[in-house]
Amino acid sequence: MDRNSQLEPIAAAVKDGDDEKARSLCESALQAGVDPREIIQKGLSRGMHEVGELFGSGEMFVPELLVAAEAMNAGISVLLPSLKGADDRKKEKVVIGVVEGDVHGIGKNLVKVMLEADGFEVLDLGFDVPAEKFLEEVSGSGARVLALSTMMTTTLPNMRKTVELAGNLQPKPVTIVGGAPLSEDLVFEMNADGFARDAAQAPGMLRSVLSR
Amino acid sequence: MSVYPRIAGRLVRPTPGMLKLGAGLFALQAKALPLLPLERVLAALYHKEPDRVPVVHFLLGGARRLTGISYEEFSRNPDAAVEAYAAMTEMLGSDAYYNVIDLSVEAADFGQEMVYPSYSTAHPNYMNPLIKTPDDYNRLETFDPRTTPRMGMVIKVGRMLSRKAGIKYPVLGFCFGPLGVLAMMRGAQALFIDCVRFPEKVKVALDVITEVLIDFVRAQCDTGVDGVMLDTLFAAQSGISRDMWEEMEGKYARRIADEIRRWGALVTLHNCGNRPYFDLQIEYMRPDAISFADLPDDCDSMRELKEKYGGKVALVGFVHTHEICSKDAGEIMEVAREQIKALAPGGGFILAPGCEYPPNAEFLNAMAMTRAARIYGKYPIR
Repeated sequence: MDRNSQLEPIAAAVKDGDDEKARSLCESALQAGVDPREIIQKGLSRGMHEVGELFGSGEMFVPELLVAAEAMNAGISVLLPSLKGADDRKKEKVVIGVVEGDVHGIGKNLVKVMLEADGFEVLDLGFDVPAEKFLEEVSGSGARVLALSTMMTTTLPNMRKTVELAGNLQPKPVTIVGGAPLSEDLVFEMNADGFARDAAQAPGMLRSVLSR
Repeated sequence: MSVYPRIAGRLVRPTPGMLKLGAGLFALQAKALPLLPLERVLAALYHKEPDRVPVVHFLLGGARRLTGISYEEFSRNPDAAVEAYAAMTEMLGSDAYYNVIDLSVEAADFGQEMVYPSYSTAHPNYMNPLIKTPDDYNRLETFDPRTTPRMGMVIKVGRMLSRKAGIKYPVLGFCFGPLGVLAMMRGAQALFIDCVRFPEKVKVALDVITEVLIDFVRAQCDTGVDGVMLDTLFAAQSGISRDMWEEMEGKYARRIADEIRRWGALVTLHNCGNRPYFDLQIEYMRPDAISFADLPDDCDSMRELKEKYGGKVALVGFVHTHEICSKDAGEIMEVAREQIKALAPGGGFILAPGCEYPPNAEFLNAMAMTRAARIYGKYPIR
């Protein structure tokens, strides 16, 4: 069996949100001697990319994206033990969270999944996160990217404050933001470096900001 | 309004035909005299041209700032909520009273633990959802919403607002859609996953919730409110697919809308998602009006929206909340002017924010919306 015939069904299982199948196919691929990094890149991540594209074009929706993420994570859980030591490339770290006062985590979770599928290492602080906690994590982890989310207009000032405080860090992290109440005007006004309308756009936007 | 007579204990309302006739008469009257808010809204809802475009602000929790009460008081004390709503309506020149406390009212009475923050709207404690696993969906039980703290309060506020409104203002009740209520008890993310993996388990809960919501809108209609707004948040591309919405909410929401109509009240919808499914929602709920924040999934411009749906349903919208947060009063007037120009000719349009007016935003932009309705919304629209 060639590599593609082993990896394509893994991508398809992710796309179908079939976590059991993703898990068992990853196990089989590992047993057949496929490099776990290749399984991730050409199987799991590829499937997630396809889902992201369909989501971006309005052909797939949040529930399907969420079950695809579950399938991807199921596959990764099988590969993790084999990845220790094997995956020594330095990944770009992203600290992500929902700003203080806001408890809506779904958008942040989707962005996290899309960034992970794109090869970023995401440190998730959850929701209702104070500005100080974000800064502490960025400084402590050496992350170059800070990703903030909010779904409420009442917590926009907390996002603004976090972006402002992050601007005083040395080195200054790249700050990206997202959420329903945001517009490009607001993002510009709060001096954030990047903004994506939906989770599918987040990896491309971040790569573009980082390459500036 | 509070003028509906009761026969054998039941409110008697005008038939849709009588309302349509009344709307026509108000439109005639508008050519010579200014209308009362109730007359203005009625004419607009029935696709007649009133004296000017009506305006509502959906300033909910933010209204508390006018009377100096806390969010919690607004959420739990009916007298305080009514006073705040009345003060807000007078100050901003709104054309309707609406009775929306927050989106967790129904879930709270099913037993969901709540949080009442001092700085923001009440919400469920998401760390402790009532429905923790897919097997918990069958734990929900029906109850009488007239006897519970939060839905009972909404019913009481509806009665008080109807009395206060007299014949001057229309009053709009509110009910979160069944899937929205369930999201408040399970968390939206887990609910979405369950809709894919365990749809039959989810439907067991939806059946129970729908029974309670039917009783809830029935009780609201009995207070004298003129209509009930049903929030079908997930019927949009930012929510779930069209097929999933039909299966998981459409058929339940239809029963609630039918009940509102059976009581002679107006059916209005609110959907602040991106690219909402107007056609499906109209098919399932036959609303008199839709409040929205974005163009429907099958329209690419306001002009197309007016052409496609302007004759079927009154449009309520759609100054975006991010514009309210980021633009000044002059810019908001300009946004409103564009929308009035595109959507108001021939009636069938009420100017409003696309969603709840940001509770901590300045009131100046709300006043700018009123001013835009008074200046640019004067019929005939030029």
